[in-house]
Amino acid sequence: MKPMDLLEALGELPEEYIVRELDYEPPRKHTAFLVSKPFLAGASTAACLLLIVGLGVGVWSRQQKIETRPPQETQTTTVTQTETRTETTAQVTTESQTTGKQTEESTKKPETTTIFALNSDQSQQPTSAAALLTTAFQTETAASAAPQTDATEVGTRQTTPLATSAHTAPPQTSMTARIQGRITTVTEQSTRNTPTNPPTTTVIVTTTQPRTDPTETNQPTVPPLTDPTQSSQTEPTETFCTDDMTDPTESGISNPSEPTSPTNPDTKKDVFSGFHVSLDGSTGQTLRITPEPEDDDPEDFSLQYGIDGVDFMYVRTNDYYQPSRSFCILSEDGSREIRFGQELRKSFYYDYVPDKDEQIFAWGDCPGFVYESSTGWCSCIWDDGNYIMTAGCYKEDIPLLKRFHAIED
Amino acid sequence: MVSDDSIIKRLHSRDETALQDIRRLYGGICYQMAFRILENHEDAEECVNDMLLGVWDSIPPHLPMSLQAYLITLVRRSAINKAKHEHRQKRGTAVCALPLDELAEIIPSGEQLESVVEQRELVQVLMAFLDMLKPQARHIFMQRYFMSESFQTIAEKNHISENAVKMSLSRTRGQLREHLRKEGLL
Repeated sequence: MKPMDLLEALGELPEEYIVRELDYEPPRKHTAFLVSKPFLAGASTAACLLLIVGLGVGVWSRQQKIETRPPQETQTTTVTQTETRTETTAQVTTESQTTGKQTEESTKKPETTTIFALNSDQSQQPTSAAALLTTAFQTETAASAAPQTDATEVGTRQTTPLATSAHTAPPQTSMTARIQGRITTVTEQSTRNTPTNPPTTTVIVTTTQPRTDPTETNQPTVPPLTDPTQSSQTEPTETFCTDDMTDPTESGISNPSEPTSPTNPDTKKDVFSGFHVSLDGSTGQTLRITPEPEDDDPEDFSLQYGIDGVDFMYVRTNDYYQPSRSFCILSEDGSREIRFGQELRKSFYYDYVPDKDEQIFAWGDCPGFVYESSTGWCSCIWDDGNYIMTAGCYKEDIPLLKRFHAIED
Repeated sequence: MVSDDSIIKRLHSRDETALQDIRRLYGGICYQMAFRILENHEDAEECVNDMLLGVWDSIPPHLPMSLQAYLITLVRRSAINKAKHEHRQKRGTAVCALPLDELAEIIPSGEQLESVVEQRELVQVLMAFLDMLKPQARHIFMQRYFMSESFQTIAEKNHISENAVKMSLSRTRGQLREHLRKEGLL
């Protein structure tokens, strides 16, 4: 074999193989979302970064909120109480830590300079708390009995939450209570002033809320690229066949013991005389059926014709499919013998579908299959192991039907 | 607009205006097919004329499914025959337009198929092979070795790169080689 033989053999392919390629539509990329791979990669990276940043900022803001949140009720209840007071006279109420009663306290604007040296470092709380207590006690003794909120400047400083110090504080005495009250006041001050922080926090939170995937809002939706092979290409398939039909291509050489469908008595008489074609329910003309000279199996047969206008018939094996049988054309003495195969059957379905205006037939060579369309019908039925095919059409002026009109005896 | 059916009908009734319509509608495509193979204007024109004569002689009785496919097949056959003839006569380099060197990867040099039976068998094997291929790979294969399209044209028509075309063809040739071996033709 030579390469030229291959090229020549391609020229001898059946017509439907050429038609299939002429009709083939290569898949197109989605023009609405024509984005290049680098762009997609960059967009994905940006989306991931945005997500990470958003999450990080969200976590940070949450931490900020936790830090600036007033101490818990079980820890220093006084703090929560004083939170609502702004510029009122401090009222120290006794508080029992064990009972958890809250002390009410109002504060007034601090009049003096900072009393406490507040330590912003929370880890150093115990030390600073002790210092605070000491300092406060000293100041308390020096000042008037009326409790005052002296920590004018405290609010400007970052305070340490007294929750921890309250826990470590010794059992309360009246003096201690006062001190605590003051400390509470300080806390309140700091609390009051710390609202300056939330705005920044809030701003940040706002930008990250709602916590949605930035890719949803910022990036266009890119549909997955379809597999080019799953294209809009309409391939000839056996979708027209009924579900109960055995697909011969899947079964390969099917089981010879495949059951046959019931015999149709109306066509049985025509089996041996030829291929029967009925047109609009009326009897058509028959063709010769000749055993194939090349086959030893007498049950194989082919149809010959020497009819003007008819260019194909088909051959079927007796009781089993031979998917390896292929379509070929021979010319002998002016008549033509054409053998059908599964390949041609598939392409035939593809070409002759009822949706097309000019071609309404669908051929089939499987038992019991009836395909109906609005303008035509065909059926294949078993009879004594032979395929019988009848074809009919409700319209008489279709090109395919006209071919059958030219059938001779 | 002239339909294929009306052309075929007029061919059946031996109306020569059908040939004029065929030349008008399909002459360009057929010429391009022949020119891709022969790379010669006169030879390509001659092939188109041969095609028209072949259509006139064969229809009737033949009734093609697709007139375009039938015409392309006829003109291709004529062009390849002319290329072979030119090669034998050692006139010009027409044969070089055919991708024979690519197909030589599949088929080492051997004797040409002489018998019709062998040719028919090869056709059947090719049909089975083409049915196995994925649609795009099959289409690229046919565009290259049946339609004799260039890599660039195939790439443009399939919206892929030339490299992708070459890779697809290389893979398909390898699969064809294996298939021919399995079928005992190599």
